[in-house]
Amino acid sequence: MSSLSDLELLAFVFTPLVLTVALVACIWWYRSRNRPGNTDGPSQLLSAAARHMPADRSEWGDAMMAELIYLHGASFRWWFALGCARVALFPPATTAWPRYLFDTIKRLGPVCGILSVALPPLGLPILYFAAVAAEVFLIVDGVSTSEVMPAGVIGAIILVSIACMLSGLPLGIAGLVRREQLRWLSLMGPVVSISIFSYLLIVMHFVAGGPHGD
Amino acid sequence: MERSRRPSAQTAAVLLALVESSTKWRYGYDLCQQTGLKAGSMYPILMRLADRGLLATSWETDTPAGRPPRHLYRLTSDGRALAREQASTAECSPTYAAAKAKLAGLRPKLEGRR
Repeated sequence: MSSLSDLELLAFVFTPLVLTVALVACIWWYRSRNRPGNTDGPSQLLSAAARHMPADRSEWGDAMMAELIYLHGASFRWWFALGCARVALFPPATTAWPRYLFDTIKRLGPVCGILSVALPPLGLPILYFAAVAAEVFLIVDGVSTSEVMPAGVIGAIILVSIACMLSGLPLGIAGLVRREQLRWLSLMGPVVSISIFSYLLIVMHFVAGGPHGD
Repeated sequence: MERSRRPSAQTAAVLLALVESSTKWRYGYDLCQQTGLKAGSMYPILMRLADRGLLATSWETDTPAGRPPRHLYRLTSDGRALAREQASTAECSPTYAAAKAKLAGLRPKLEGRR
């Protein structure tokens, strides 16, 4: 990896994350743009969040949606929608905390689907920031990296990073088996995982010398 | 068993705003503007007040054409009693001083009173 310049290294690390976020945003926007009443971003955001409100709070989701329709000004609408979306996803608890947590996970539904798409692109940044942290320790303490960050820790970070990259596969399958909402997220997870891992192998192959590296 | 505890400064501000015009139905955003609270803080407070039977909710009946009815709020008799009781008994408390100052658009000058 050392043959990459700083800019190339940043591009290499963050490209999967940026592409995944852009892809998810595009699919979400495409799927929600034709829903009735969703005229702009704040409405789409709030209606998406309100759909996940608990049944006994659904009236409040309607209340917040109705209030939003009367507001004018993009920034007012966005701030109002963001605040309401948070309330819609995590309304005040009416039960004890363990039960509330369990109900929230169950209610929000596509937990496996969301994680299957969110975790794989975080694998490379985790590795990158660990390397940056190691460099910082090296400069501050003036000792070798190996003393500050033992081989065991480095190995663990690499394992966590690889586990993140590959987690889209089991999590996506789990999401499909659980028949979660937003099935497309569960389908996308394995694709993201395999793509990112393949991307890592291909880049490493070329950086290490490639087919004409000698 | 229902816990009885002093309301937060934000809840106090909402209670004071609602008790000021206790018979009038209020909108959520209207209350946000009056108290300076964001929607993300206002709605959980309204939900908790309604859960405790302190807030009555209703839907607007006279709406402009093509617009959905808005949710309306006002204190119940229990809510009014609690708000007035809290306001009178805790007039000197920092919580209510801050809430009142916020409603009046003023910064609390607690240091100046000492």
